[in-house]
Amino acid sequence: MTLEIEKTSQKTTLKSPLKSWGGFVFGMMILGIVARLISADDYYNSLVNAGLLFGGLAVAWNILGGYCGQFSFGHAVFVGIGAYSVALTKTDQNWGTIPGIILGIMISIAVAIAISWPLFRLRGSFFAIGTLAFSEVALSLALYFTWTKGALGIQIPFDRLPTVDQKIWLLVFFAYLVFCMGASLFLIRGRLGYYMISVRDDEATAAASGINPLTIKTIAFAISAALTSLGGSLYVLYLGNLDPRAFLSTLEIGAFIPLLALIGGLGTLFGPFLGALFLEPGQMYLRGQFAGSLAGISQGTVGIILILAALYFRHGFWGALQQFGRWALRIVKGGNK
Amino acid sequence: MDLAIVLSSGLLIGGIYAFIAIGLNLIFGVVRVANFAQGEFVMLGMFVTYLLQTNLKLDPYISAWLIIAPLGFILGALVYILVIRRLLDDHYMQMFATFGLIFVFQNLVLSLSRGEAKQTQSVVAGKTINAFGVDVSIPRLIILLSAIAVALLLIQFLNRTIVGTAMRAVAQDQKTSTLMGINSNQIYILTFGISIALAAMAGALLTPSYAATTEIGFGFILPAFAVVVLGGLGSVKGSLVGGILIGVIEGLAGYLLDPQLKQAVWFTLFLIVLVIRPNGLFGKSVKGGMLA
Repeated sequence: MTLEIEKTSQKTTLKSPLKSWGGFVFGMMILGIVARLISADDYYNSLVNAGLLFGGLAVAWNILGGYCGQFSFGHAVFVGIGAYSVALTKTDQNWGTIPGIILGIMISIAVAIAISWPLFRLRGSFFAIGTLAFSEVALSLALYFTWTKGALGIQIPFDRLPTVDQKIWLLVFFAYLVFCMGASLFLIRGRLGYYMISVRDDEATAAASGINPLTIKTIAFAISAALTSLGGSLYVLYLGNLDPRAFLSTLEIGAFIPLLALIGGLGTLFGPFLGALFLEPGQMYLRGQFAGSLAGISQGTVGIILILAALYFRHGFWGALQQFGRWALRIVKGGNK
Repeated sequence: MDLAIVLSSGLLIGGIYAFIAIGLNLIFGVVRVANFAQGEFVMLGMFVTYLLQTNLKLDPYISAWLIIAPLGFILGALVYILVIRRLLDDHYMQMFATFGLIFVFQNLVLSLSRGEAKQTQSVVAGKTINAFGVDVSIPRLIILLSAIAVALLLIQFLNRTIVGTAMRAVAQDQKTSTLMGINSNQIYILTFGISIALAAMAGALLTPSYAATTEIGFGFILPAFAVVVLGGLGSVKGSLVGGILIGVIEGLAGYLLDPQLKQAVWFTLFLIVLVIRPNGLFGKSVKGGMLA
């Protein structure tokens, strides 16, 4: 099944100042200050935390989905691997936090490489269906085995958590987002990023120019999985409790992360985290506001935004912003003449 | 005797999968859209059937044919016209849009039903008949027989009628069939209508044996995709046989290994088939996937 891939980010030239390290540092500084200012009390702080974490996850997913054009609905598996690695080593083995996180990243990379061979033989929708099936297998296995504590999940003892201070978590999640963004920027400024984009835009031509598409996709998958696993580890340490049905959920994690990236702007540096930053806290806020009166309004709204985004804003928030910027620039320039 | 029970229950579950997969496969084969929201139409069918029974005292087996199927057809046509038609050129946006539909329908029903499970009553609900020493649930037997009937009708429709032939032509090559004077837009509307009508009908027929919950639809979508892949893209016969096969495998895996592992078994099988035989057991080729 050959696919005509919509060229999502063709308009952003690689020379754009937004893709320089200076622009990146500036953007992150502004984000950090805004995030800190909004987080005046614990409730808003928790909203911002979720936004930053899911922002990082969306950016990590975007490396494979946005730049390499492989739509995985199975990234919940890597969130799960990261979470289980930390939670199990902490409760059963008395490990520290960092070794658990590193273990999770190692396993995620190994799993990503192992399933690359079968999954990347599938294209387009079939790849997406394959990753979805992969995610469901992971969930049923996590529920089945006794060493994963089955459907009960894992409760990390309170005194084994590194910190429960929301303010510190704000810093941690901010650092995670910056790390994911930095990794993305580093990738797309380098040779590998060009390879990934060329595989996405035209696999046959990329292969003809001497790039091995499978290798490039596998590398992108491994990097994306490693960053996602890190996010999963942080998430379980933040919540303190691992519910397999939540962490390995297709609708709340596996399909939700790509949706955040899409709504923000697929295949762009800032788009995915922008989408997450608005949507994740936004839906949590709606859930809080309408709790008890209108169940389902938050996710229903997400669904409507999603359909509208697919229909009218295929380049996402970020694309709309860029369009607005160009339009404003034209107005300003016109005014000077 | 245990094995006979396992096989018969697998067969009956397979009937459900087949019924849902036939509609999914029709859209996948003709319009080339992986409709992840197909299960949600099953769920909607279940809830509307429940409403019809509580308000109008209609038996689910009557409303399935008289009301649910036409309503499903209209809904399917609307979904195609309002959403999918604008996204025909972009497979990724289609996937996103169908996931958006999942979120919308699930949460719409959640807010209306307040998360309560609903079940309908029928004279045959909970009744069984004894066939060759095995108790067979009548509601599930009806689904299996309906799936077979629907598959046969659909095959006849695709092979014997001019509209069906046009549908197969569009499935084979949309551009050429348009040059031959077929209005592919109308064919797509018809395909979506029939497919969603089948999904909703499956939902209606499920209500006497399954309680309707908001999440039930998404639970059916992966088995249905597995059936489509196993049976072959665009093959109605393949969906029927594939559905029954998946059901039996699920039953056997549950019996021989562990009921909790049955999903893992057929998902693994699904992945293997997807990789080794991407055209499925009955599909001729993915690109020009034939119908019937």
